[in-house]
Amino acid sequence: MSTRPHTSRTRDAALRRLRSANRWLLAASAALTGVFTAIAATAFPGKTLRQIHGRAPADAHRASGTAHARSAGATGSSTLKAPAQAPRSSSGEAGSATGESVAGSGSAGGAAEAGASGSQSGSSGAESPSGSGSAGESGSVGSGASAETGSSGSSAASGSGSGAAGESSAGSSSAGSSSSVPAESEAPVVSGGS
Amino acid sequence: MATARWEALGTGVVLRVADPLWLPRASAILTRELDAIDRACSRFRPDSDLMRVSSRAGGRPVAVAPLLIEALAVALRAAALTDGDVDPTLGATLVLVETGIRVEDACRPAAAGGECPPASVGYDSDWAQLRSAVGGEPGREARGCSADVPAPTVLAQWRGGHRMVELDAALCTVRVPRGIMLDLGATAKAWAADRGARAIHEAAGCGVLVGVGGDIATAGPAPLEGWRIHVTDDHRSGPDAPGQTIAISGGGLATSSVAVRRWRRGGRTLHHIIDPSSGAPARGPWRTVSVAAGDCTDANIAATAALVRGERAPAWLDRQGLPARLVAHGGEVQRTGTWPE
Repeated sequence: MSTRPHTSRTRDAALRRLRSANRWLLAASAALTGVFTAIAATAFPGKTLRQIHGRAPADAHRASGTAHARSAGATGSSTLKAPAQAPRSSSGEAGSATGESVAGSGSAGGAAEAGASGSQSGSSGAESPSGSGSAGESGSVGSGASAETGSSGSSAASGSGSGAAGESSAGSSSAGSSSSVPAESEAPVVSGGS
Repeated sequence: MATARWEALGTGVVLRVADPLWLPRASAILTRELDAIDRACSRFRPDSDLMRVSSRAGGRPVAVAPLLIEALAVALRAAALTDGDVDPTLGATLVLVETGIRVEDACRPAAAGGECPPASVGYDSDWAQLRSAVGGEPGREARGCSADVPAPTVLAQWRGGHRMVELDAALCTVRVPRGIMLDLGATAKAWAADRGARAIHEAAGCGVLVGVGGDIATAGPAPLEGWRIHVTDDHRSGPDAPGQTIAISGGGLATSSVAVRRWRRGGRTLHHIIDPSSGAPARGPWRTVSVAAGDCTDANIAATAALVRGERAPAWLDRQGLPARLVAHGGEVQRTGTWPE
């Protein structure tokens, strides 16, 4: 039984291999730690304690502020969603005595454009008939509601509930309170402060 | 095309469906949706889940309906996306601005010397209800949390008062610290419009437009000419009011304005858009801001935040890629993004 004598060269080679193996082990353990952390964070979402600062009521100095972060859900987008299609001009600006002047990029002082393009909705009243003024009025849709149909509304007039299976009772039950409102199929819906 | 109008959530509701035959059923669906949101989120109903949470501020977590969890998640997301400019924890500040009375005083029992807020302060809220809600016993027991309700995402980066809301989507509980009163007025109506439009479209399949207090949501195919919307200061105005008529093919559009719900007290003009950094009505250069977005909720978040941000709003809206129309107090109009001329 014989053993080879260890030369300094074989010792150095062994040390190099050992050093290389150590490096690989360190890198692998770091990567695996990251992977397992990510998996655990996804699988077991928890609560985060955080210190509360700022203008807080009396007990806000205690740690609180719990955020339960989960994926999914309708409210999850982290940015405000832009519209898929840009809005289009339908009539342009309509100025008035209260004075909205059109200043393309914020410059003030332009003369108010007085309703040159507001003609689509008639000159008075919100419910101006457009086109076929005799369009049918449908039944009312709940107490106090008024309903109007457009030019194709004649079928609805006969059918408060006819086209609505199951849940139409609310709509047709108070038909007596329906109000006579002119058709407004073309009148724009108003968006304003409330 | 058929249209119905009525009042709900303390404001005007408009429903337009492409198929007139669906109007009654669509109205029923929307009415049910708005009723549910009112029961969960109203600041003016003593029995609402929202008021139960506020009335137990500083106490233990309150079990609430999943609907309020979702609504709060929407509001907290709004706060996160706007760096706290749209903050759901400003209820007490809003009451203070509206009435000059601190919530604690208003809620103290009369026998203990509590004040009753004035009946009319230029703001159409029911203060008697508010008082009994915050100071009285909750009218209902907490309900269980349905397991199939998708847990909403709440962003972790919070700043301001909204950081103090403890929302547990898994257990359906909410807790706020003492002194905090929740108010979802900045997001709930737009969110309700989105939910209503989606629900109706899912049932009817046709195109639908829902407007709640001037916040417009659409779902389904739009008419060929698009959904025509007139943007102006006050949603109660007619389409002949000063403003602009545009058409959208989808998504939502919302308008926030300081020209409505204004009143004077102590020689100052006040309104309902609160700047969280000052705790006072926002004093920016804009009177009315209209924003088009992927849905009505986001449009309303952006419009309200723009009023608070003031001069910085156009650049911020541009960065968000949101078309907007901003009307200055003097009437000058500025547009961002692809908002049409």
